Amino acid sequence: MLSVALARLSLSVPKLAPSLTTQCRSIFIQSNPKLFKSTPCLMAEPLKKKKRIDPAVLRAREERKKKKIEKQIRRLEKNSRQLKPIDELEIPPAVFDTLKQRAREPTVISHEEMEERALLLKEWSLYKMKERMNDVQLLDKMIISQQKAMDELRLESEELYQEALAMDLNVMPFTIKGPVHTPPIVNYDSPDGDYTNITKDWFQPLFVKQ
Amino acid sequence: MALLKTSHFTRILLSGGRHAGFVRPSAFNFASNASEPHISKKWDLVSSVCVERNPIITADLTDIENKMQIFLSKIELEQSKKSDHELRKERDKITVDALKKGNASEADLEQATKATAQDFEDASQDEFAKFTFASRKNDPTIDEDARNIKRHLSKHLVLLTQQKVGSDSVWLLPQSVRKEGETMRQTADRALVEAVGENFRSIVLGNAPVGFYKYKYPKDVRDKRGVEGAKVFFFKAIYQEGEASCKDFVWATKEELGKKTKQDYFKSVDQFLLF
Repeated sequence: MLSVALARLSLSVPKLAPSLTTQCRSIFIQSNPKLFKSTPCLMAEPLKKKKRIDPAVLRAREERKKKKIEKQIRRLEKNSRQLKPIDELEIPPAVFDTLKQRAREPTVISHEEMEERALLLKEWSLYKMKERMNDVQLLDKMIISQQKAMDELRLESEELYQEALAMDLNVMPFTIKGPVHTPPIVNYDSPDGDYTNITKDWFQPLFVKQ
Repeated sequence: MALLKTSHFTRILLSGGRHAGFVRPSAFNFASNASEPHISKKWDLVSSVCVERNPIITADLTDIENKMQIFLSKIELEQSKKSDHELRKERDKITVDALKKGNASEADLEQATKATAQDFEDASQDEFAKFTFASRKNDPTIDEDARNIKRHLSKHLVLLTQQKVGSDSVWLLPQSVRKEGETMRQTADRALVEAVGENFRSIVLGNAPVGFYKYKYPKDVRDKRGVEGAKVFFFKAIYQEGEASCKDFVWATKEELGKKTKQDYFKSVDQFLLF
């Protein structure tokens, strides 16, 4: 219907027009109007399809990387803080293996004994508390005494006071011996023997000199 | 207990005056020209040294401490495991029993001829019995000798010297009046040397005084010299070694110190004693 209408129209347009009309005519009935021409892209490679990765997998991968680094850091830190082993505190493997043999027969504690022990513990804690109180009071007394002396000294002379505040470096390092359980024996001839130092050398692995 | 006391003792040593932070400056305003020593003319400044001989042996355990010690060793035994020596002893016993029954193997016989755990124990006991420790108790004559440095082994002792104050002589801690240009600590050092000589070695603990005592001179002295009295600043020292070279000195226990000195003097000294 439309083409008929257009054909009719063409009767009134000048000579040049028919080609346009014919072309226009096919605009609606053909899928490829002849006005548009394209060349196929022959030389190009087809684009790679982008791989889509599951975000969960991605996250897991990231996590693994993080964990690995963290583990390395932890290992380094562990090394740096490694202390000298104290042999005396570690149970020797030989003892560890024979723990069952070494078990003692469990002692049977009578009711009276239990009672006695509990009482003793109570008495002891009371005794220690009193001792502690005495010590604290003693220290307080000394501190107050010193403070009073310093205040009096300051009243007399600021300069002497400042001198008294100064540190006495001659005292350091300070060592003091005793008290011991029995007094030292005068002119004691200690038995001869060889002194062998069996202390192991331990060093920090991080600070090994190359 | 002795351990606890010593630890406190060291705490005092460490804090006692040598660190400036220990002594809190007092709150009052002090109007003085710091660049020029301002010494009050009214009072004599005196430094005095309290030389202590620390106990050589630990104090005797009290009743409850004794009980506790026994109790703790019992608990320790109960919770312990058998030692190598005990295991060896048990094994020895099994071998001996087997020998008695007559069904011992050759290996057992061989072992029986070796030294047993019991032998080892006996030998150790013998060796221990041979060694004699020095007695914890002094000869009473030593304890009574007030000038003996080894008297009363488990007690603190304080060095007292007899000094002339005015016309009469009294027992005091070694002291000396401050001279111009000296710090109190220097006076204290000098006082000690003057009192007991050069051979006597001790450590004075810090520049700060630990105690204070004040007394007034009699009226005639006050009028004559125009000095009100003396302010005594005590310093603490620990005896190291050497002999005092003066005539009139004693190593006093706290009780003796209380008896020999005036009551208020002792009260001031008692304030900074750790025992």
